[in-house]
Amino acid sequence: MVGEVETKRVGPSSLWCRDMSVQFGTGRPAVDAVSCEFRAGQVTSLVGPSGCGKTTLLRTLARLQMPSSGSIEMIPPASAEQGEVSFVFQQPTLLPWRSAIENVMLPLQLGIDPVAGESIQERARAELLAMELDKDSLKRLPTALSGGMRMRVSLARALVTRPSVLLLDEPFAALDDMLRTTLCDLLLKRWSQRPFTIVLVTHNIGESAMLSHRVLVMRDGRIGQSFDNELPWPRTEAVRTSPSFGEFYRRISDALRGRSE
Amino acid sequence: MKDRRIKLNRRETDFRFSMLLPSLIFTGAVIGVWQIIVVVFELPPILLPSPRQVLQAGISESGTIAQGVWVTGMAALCGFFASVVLGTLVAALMSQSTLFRLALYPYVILLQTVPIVAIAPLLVIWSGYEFRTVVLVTLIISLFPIINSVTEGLMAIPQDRVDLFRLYGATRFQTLWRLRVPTAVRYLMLGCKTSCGLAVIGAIVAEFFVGNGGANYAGLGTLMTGWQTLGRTAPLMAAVFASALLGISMFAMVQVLSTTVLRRWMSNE
Repeated sequence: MVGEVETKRVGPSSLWCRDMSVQFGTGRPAVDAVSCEFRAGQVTSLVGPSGCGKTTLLRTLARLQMPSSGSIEMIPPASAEQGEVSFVFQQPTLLPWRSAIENVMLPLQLGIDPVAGESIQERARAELLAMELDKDSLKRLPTALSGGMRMRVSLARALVTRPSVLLLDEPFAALDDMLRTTLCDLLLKRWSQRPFTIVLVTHNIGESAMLSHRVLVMRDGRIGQSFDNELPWPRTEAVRTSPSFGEFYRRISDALRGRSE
Repeated sequence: MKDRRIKLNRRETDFRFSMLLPSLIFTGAVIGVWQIIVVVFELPPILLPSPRQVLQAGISESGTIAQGVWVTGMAALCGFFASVVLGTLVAALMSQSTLFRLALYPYVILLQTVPIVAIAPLLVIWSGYEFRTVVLVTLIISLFPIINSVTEGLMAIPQDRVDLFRLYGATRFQTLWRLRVPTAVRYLMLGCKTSCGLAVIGAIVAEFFVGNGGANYAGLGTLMTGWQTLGRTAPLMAAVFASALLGISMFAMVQVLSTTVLRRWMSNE
């Protein structure tokens, strides 16, 4: 069954922004003539102080926001309507009248091409279990779930369409460190099983260093610096405590404070 | 954290008999004071009958009052349900099109501002001394809260939920059916809580006018005007209590619906 899906799609897409700007009203654009590539099958983090335009850039990639000028291209093309581009919001954004599993079923019910021989419910269930939500909670309403469980449901909903591009808008910002690490690991596990292109907006330097192949530092609507992350995979606890992690952390932190190398 | 949340939900919705106790004690006290006032000031029964006299009148006229409750209750329910259906339709139109909103909103306001006692006689002239006239008046008085709250519910959708539906390319109908309507259920029930009380008021007011025609109609409102003219204060007061009970039952019905079958749509989180 899984094989069918793999052959249906060509693989993860790379994203190209060319001279892309987003302007709200007058004044300085929220995103200012950004040109960059988000490499196929890799994790790219966007870090920057609040108000630097990182969320706007992400929303534009999801086509929730139209660019004022410039263009975005996905190669090979991926469309959100077909579930190939998924988005995880800052808040879990679950529909309170739907149980956990019903929330995960939603994108599939909105007309994304069904996969032969697989019910929507089975697929949602499998995705939730992969996010390690306990079986008892599948039928619970969001009000009966903890914050961490809700975020698991939110991630499962984004992954259930088997996207080739996953956009994450500070999804772990409201969680404690333990949960954050667990969910990051789960996300990476899913990614290693079937690579997709990830763009992660965060203001947490540690998170960006642990998760990504590349870190882009944004400032005033522009991408200031780009860092290739040479830390070895898999990113285990040993990596987190290694001197090279500290070194990489410091480089990003310096860039964020406006110190050039 | 999780457990506490569930407990809080239970506390809000679960009914326990002990919750009735404070209001029962208070009611007892009020009846006691009433009895004392009647005895101490030697009030004539035509001005203020004693609780006992009201109870006796209520028992001896129980057949008539029960009939009145039935007729008025049916009128109030019909008018209320009609207002829920019509109000939801109007709200759906208004939420989907700015044109409809601009065209209809002045009339919605008018509905709220024109005093029902002023149009009730007109409606009696046009529609006759009939059950349907009572239903019509009830419909008019209970319509506004429904339209108002449902329109708000259909329009006030959190932006990130709208984004979620846009992201997956949901059609207009899918967004209406799977997002706006479920969100509006909670608002509809809020509107219903206001409307169901108004429906009983509307039905009784309409019956004041319908009763004047001397037609064969015996709702609580008609009974009240009749007993008032005859100076029979005790059964009149019994009828007043019956109408209050009717209003409370309507409210309880809405409340029970909200906390049982519609419960999952009540959360705003």
